[in-house]
Amino acid sequence: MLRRDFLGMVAVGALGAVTLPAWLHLAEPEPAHAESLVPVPTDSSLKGKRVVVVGGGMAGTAAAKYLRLWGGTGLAVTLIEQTPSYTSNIMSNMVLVGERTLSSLDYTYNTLKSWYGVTVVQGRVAAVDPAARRVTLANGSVYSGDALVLAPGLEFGALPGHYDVALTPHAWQAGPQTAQLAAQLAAIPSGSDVVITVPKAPYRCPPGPYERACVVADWLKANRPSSRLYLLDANPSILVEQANFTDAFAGRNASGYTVTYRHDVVISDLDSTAKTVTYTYRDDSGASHAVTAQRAGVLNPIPPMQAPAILRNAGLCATNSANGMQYAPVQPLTFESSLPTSATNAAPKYPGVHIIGDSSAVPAEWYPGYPGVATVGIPGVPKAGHIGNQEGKTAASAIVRRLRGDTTLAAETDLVLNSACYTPITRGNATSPGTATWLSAVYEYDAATKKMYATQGQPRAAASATTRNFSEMLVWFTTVMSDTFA
Amino acid sequence: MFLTRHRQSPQARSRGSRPRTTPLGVAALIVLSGALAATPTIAADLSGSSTRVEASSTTPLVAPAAISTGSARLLASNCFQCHGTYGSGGFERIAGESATELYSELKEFAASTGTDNIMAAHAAGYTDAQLRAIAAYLATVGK
Repeated sequence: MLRRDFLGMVAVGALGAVTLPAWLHLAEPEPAHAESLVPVPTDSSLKGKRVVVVGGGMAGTAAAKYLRLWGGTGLAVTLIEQTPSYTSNIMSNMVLVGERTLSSLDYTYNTLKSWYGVTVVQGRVAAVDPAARRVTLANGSVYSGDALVLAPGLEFGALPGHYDVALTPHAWQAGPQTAQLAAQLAAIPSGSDVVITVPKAPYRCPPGPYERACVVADWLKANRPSSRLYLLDANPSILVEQANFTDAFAGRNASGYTVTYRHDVVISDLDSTAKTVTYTYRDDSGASHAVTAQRAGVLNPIPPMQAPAILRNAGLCATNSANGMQYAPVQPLTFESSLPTSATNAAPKYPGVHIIGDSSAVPAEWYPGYPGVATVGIPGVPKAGHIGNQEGKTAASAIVRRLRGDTTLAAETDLVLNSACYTPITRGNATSPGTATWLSAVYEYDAATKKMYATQGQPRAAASATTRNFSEMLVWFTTVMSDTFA
Repeated sequence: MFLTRHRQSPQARSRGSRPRTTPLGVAALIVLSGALAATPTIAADLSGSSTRVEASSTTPLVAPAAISTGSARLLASNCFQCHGTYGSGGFERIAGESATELYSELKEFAASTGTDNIMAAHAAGYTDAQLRAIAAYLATVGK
């Protein structure tokens, strides 16, 4: 369904030939098929122009697809990606508890190539030259363009002590580590505990660690009822969906599992061989407690994460004061690097270099006066797939408008970025749904400050975990992946 | 389908310091300037209503001049993650629907308390002008 076979695409393509107003450049979507493919409009006005996209995740792939849809057949788009296919992080917690296969999360670039006409190069980028809008691959080949879109995702850092990711996988980048962690969970001895650690924000997918705690605790209750799940959070509170996760952790969920949640956790030693964690935490009264060498049957440290070395080495990053990690600052209208030319010249240092997805830092805040603004949520646009897709569209739109000579973009005020997700609270699958919640945050651009602001009343979350939300989650997942990869 | 199947019961809707839509019940729906986004405005409490908000037949549903085709297309593309590329499917096909109908649905969602409705949460995040632009754009898809 997500990926059509070749014959299917030919059939849709044959039906896609419709007469359209010249200004619209849109094909009529195929009414009978929800995921019918929209043809790239025949438009050679950008012939000779080229855009190079680095990274085939949610942001980079969406950017490549929409560059072609909005730029037309004349615009050459090259996507450079290390791996032959993408493994979705979304839904990957369900692989850990045996509700999905890892292969069900696999998305190829076949449609991007054969339908949208994107040139896909499998290779590893070794260096980025932002001044020249040029990247050099490990094999020595060089690519440059009229615009450079960088969407390389995140690189995972270290934790104090004797941390070894090979022994204690984070599985925060779905793939082999997901399978490894799933196998560790399946083999956990009865009575042994699962310990998951959460890094200081920002990190990828704000609700993700809490979701993982829920579905793994749900699995433990059914399969290892004498085992406990400890969630050790470096942050001062549950960051998102506090009410829903607080309920779930306290046993108010469809399965009756519980999670021991500890906040303000500071780890002094994490030993991947012994599977122990030594740390301090604060209880809800603010009192500090020390725990020495808490032993786990399965230890799942989620380390801090930042923009990869290719961005840091290119001088595109700045340090985030909240967690000490580096991300690439961008201006929201175009997602171009916002680094100034110099201390005295505010003009962008690297025009035409766009950083999208988890490695970018989008200036964003809550509105002043938002209830709980001091304690609730993550100040900034979240690092997540749904909004990453929209960041790809935003960069694609800005690039196409610039290449077409549209000078109105700089004065644009109407930019909205929508972040949304569904979160499983109890396990399930398409035939036997569990329960889930949802989370939404709509950010709008403020031209005066050149920042994004979470709009009034946002974020909003589901009132409770329901089976209906679980079913809707599957529709959302299928559709957001389809809008990106198909 | 998805747009219409979760009606919210009427409840008072608490608004903070940045109301985003005109009060319901005004005869003519006023197109707000996009500049509202940058302008702090007074607090207001609106009574949510499950009554359909019909656009006046005398109010043309066109994208305001302040919103260019480029930004309308980009605004509407926020819908595509759940409704498919160009609104072709997903939860519900929205491509090529009447602008009046789409706008009415969006306004209804934006005005509903909607604590358990993800579309209400989404719609409430856009200005009235932006909702008009989205509806007008989606109506042109495939036409």
